[in-house]
Amino acid sequence: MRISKTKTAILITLFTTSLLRADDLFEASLEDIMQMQSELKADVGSREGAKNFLDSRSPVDVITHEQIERSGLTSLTNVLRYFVAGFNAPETSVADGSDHVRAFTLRGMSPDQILVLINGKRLHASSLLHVNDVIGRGSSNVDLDTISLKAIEKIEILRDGAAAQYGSDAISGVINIILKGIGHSSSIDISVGQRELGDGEKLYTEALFTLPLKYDGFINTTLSLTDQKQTQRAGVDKRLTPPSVKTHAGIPDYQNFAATLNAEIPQKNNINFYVNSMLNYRDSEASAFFRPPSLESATLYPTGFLPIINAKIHDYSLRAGVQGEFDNALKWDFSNAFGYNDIRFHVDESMNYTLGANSPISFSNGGFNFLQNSTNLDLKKSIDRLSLASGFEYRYEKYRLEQGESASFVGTGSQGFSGYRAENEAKESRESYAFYIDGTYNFTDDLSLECASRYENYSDFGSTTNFKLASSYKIIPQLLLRSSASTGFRAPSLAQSNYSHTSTFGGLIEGTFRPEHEIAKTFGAKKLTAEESTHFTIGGVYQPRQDLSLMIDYFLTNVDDRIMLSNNLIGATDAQKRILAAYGVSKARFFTNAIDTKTHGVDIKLNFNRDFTHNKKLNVGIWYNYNKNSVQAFNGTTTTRENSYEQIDRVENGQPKSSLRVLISYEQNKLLTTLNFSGYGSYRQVRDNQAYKFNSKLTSDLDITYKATKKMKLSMGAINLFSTMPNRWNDLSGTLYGYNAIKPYSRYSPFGYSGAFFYVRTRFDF
Amino acid sequence: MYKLFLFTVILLSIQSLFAYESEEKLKVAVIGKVPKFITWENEEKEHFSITVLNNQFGNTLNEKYGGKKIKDRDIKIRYVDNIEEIEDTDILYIPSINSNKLSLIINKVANKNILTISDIRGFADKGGIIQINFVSQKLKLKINLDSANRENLEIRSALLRISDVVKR
Repeated sequence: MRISKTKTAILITLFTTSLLRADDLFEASLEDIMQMQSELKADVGSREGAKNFLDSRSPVDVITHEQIERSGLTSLTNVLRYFVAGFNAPETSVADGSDHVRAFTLRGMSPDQILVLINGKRLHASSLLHVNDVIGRGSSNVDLDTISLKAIEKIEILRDGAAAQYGSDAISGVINIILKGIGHSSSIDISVGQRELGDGEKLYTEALFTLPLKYDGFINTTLSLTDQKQTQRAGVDKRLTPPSVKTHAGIPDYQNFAATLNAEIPQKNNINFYVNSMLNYRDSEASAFFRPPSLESATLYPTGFLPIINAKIHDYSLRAGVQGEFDNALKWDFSNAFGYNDIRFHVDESMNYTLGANSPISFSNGGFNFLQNSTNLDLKKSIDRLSLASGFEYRYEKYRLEQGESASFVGTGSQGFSGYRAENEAKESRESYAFYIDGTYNFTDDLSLECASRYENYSDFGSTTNFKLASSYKIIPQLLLRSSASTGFRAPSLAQSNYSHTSTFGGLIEGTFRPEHEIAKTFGAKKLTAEESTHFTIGGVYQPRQDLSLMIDYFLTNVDDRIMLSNNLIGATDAQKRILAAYGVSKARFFTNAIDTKTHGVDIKLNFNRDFTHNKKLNVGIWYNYNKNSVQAFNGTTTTRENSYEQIDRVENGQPKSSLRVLISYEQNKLLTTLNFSGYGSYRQVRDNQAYKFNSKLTSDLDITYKATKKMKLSMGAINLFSTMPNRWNDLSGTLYGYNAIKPYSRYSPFGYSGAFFYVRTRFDF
Repeated sequence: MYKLFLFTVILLSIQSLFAYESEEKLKVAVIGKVPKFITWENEEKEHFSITVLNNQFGNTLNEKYGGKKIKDRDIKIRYVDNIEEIEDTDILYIPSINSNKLSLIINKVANKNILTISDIRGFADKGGIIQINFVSQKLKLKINLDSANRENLEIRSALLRISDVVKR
């Protein structure tokens, strides 16, 4: 009898699958049991308590601290880009503030549509609004790089709308960062590296000090220091004779200091006091475009000059609370979360043309800060198969924009980045309060249903009530089906409602005006209101064995009244022209609830984790994400497909629709090897009303770690090993942007354009 | 292509020693593994008794230990819902749902030569004997040697070597 190859494979599969039903766990020794890896649990997405992330009713992923350590990465934004298909975080340059606070997106949506939590508590956003033509234009996001990697135990990523559970911003997903608790050793890591071209040198040092306390309490302190030198990938400046490279295009120069505290002090009576705090200071420098020699600058800079934009960023947050349980098993948690972000801009090696030879060359350009304080009371109780949670939240937010020194804004203002003016100043605050209730009923061990509702009232735009229904059903032990439907919202940020920045060009003013300014109103601007969303996911998890799982989830998110920063508009009607003339304004832009969007797609994720005999372990993760964003409707006429082609195309095509991550990690005795492939689909950027396509690319990363002793590890590796570069601008022959221009690469590139980075790293445990 | 497929099938088929197990199953496994490191005052009893207060394991304990032996004695599993029902037993497992009643439970079983095991946070510091917890997906044991001594339970050094021992 002849058996085909396919049949042979099927027979082998069936035979060995039956072998795997043998229950080894109860035959193993205690020592072996203590070496086994237990299930990976996640808290996010349900108030029922931590559960196996594969059993979640909504799609959840978890990145562990071991995975982070093996990636060789030193920034949280890059860690998420490395592991999460559909997570996008371009590295911009010559984009003012956006060079210093990286925007990031999930599923091609907006950066402010992601909620970030620390140990389940809200983390404040940066005070920076991305206002240049970058991914995330018109939004603020959490500054992820304020968080020291060594402080992180795991990162939970909920890929679902969850505003009915957590409130504003939880539209494209929720990132819950769990800080290290008890059981870790104190350690120090030192990493040094540089780019293939010899620049971009980086020194990264971080240390964790841990002190165990009674009743499994702990005090963990993490310190990290980054010294990053710039990379230079600019093209020649054809305005100069002879043409030469002057502008800086690449990652910025920066020094970053971060400190994290995480402590829990449990009492004998089951009361637990907890606190976690993060302090961050960043001093970052990036350039504007080079200013060629001119009459205005001849005295101070006879050969031209390169303005340097310097951002000094202070970021603090503190979450503290007390939790316990009453005799009737009602769990309670009372907490306060405070967050503050302050950014000050300085421009150096520049001048103000209006002041001529008397101009200073360094300017203090003003800045902004954002304060957020949330007070929460959360209650939770399980009664047989029913888990109930309820809570209250009060939040206070304050946004302040402060002017720069007068020399930075008078007349033409400082070249490179004009200072904020007195009329730009803002000091606004708001309050909100919310009630929520969340119930989960487990009909059987295999069937569960969760219902959640949250009412929220904001002092500036009113109230909203949102709902979520989620269910899961294990048809067979290996197959879980899940689905969720919910509504959500995102409150307009205080920055979006109050930011303005105006400067003078050719004697006329142009820039960003508040939505309630008369200039904006003449174009139809209204007071900003909340973005409203609806979500639907359906999918499942197939887990034929403990070490193999396949997740497939379809998602659909509709967002109404999405806030955008409009194009620069000029007066079209007589009334508009009259008002513009009255204010001496030539062009104006403003934030507006401009568009309705639809986002849909699929995530397919395969995990395979195998521990072999003789200390060999293999982990393979394959994750594919497809997302399609489209604008469904336009609200009013200030933003249309015709007059805002660049803005709309950025929403629809500015980010890869497809992305792939393949992570392979192999451990044998003292050697750990991690190989990562990241595939990025094509994307487009519009210049001068013409769309330019950038091809899909594949990058590879490698990390090899040798456990020299029980207390010491040595690593070497490469990020973007083969120095994959994005395409240059095809068929664009501009001076600033173009194939052979100052900026030959698109700032939308999802993996930057600085090329390979090689590093060595050592870790000591003590 | 076929070779790649076959390689994948064989790779998937190789018996994994340590698959990702649920925390509940690992706890159940520990309950059965620990006794070989412990000496009770009287090991001549007919049964080896395991009592669970407010069972959270479903039927797993029965499935795994039904019809089996510990220390050459048939295992007898008993589930109780309140402290008063706790009787003479070799092991008392106290799930974390009982954290508020822990001092009452420990007082109730004091001086009865019972090995207490729990996943309650701070259990070993609060007078329990063996605490199970999970750190970075690894099961850890924490032992209060004073509590064990008070209960006249002898713990072998092999177990102490792989556990954290509460120091006074």
